[in-house]
Amino acid sequence: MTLARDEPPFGLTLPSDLFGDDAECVVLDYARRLADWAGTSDFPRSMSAVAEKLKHRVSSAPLPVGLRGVRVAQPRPLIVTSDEETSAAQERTVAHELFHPFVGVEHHNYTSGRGKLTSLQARAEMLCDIGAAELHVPAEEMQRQMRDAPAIRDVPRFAEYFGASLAATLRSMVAVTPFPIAGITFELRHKPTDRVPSATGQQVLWGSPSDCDSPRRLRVHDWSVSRGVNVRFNRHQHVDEGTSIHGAYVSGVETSGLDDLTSIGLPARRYRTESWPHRYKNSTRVLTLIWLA
Amino acid sequence: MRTPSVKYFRQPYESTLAVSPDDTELRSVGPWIRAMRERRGWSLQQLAERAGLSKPYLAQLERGEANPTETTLQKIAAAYELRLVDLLNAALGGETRPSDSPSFREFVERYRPEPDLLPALRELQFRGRAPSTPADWWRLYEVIRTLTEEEDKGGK
Repeated sequence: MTLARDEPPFGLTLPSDLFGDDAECVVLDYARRLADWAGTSDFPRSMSAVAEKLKHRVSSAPLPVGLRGVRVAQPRPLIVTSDEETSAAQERTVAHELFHPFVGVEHHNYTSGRGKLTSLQARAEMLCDIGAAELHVPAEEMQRQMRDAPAIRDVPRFAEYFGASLAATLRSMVAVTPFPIAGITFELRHKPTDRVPSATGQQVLWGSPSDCDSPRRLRVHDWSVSRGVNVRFNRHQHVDEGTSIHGAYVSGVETSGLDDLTSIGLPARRYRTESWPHRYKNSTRVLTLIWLA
Repeated sequence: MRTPSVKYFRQPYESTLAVSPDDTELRSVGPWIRAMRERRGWSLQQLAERAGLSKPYLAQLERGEANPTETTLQKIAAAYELRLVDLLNAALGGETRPSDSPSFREFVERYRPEPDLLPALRELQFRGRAPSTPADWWRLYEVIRTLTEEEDKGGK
């Protein structure tokens, strides 16, 4: 389909209700038109080139820990990404920031407030993520590339094709598949204790406050589920050492198996899993596909 | 977004201000006027003479006890050889706001960043964890200041 070669925002505006499906549709439409307008016909698409066409300067620099990127609106739009991240992750950050002017929810209260997002701002962030994913790894192209059921060994190949991070590629694969699956990136670490909840909160989350300083375990770093699957994970959860997922971490090679995954909140039965370990900075992460049906 | 105080600022000032001052904020211009005067080594009397204002009124303004009118601010800006819009952006942009987080406020007070970048810092859009300590803000400020300066040099 040939889209009108208009200037951004192509006559598009978001509905007043950002929480509806319509808002997602408009953001996706904007992403497709933006890609068309920027002339990004080949893969991997350069998000920095799109940014440049939108008159944004892009630079990477050492940012405070945990901050992945910022967009400065004035005097000239500037996007700064964290040089601690891989180039693929920085590209995704650039894509994310490019959607902020369109989505348009100001962050004054966030940046100047107590660091917590309001639900509206969180929704705006989500819409920026949705748009960035479509701009960087378009669903239609992912479906064309994937053809069959997702397989964990395809993740690195698709990541290279799209110029996206492994975790982002896994999310995109999960997003387009009709199968009921979950895609999780695990990494070995302590529980996220930088914001330790109250003793009561710890009791609820982990069962015992003393468990707060638990040993490093293979914990959920990033997750997504395919459409229609009603399962949630959180970053405190870990997989047991007897699973094939943990086996992939220990052996350093791809594994598959039938695993008990009650420790990450799934009902008690065995799930077919495929896991692939890879080096990330100074540690190892494990990408896992879980077949939920 | 706050409504600009049109009582004080007609076009073109409204459209060029990086900040939209209200009456309460206008009072906070006073300490900046005093700091600027002291930096230039002027007495209250000297500034009053240059601006054509009375010394007691100027003292009140500096203490934040009076609301300056547009005419008054024009006179003070002229005494400092500044445009009114630049005076307001520098004066109000350099002050903390009630909506600022404690870490941002502490950053401004402890590190004394250049005021011209503060409006941009307040309007940043983040991905990931927002700065939560004054040191984080300072690090981010330094990155943006350096990149902005590079661009300014490149543009000249």
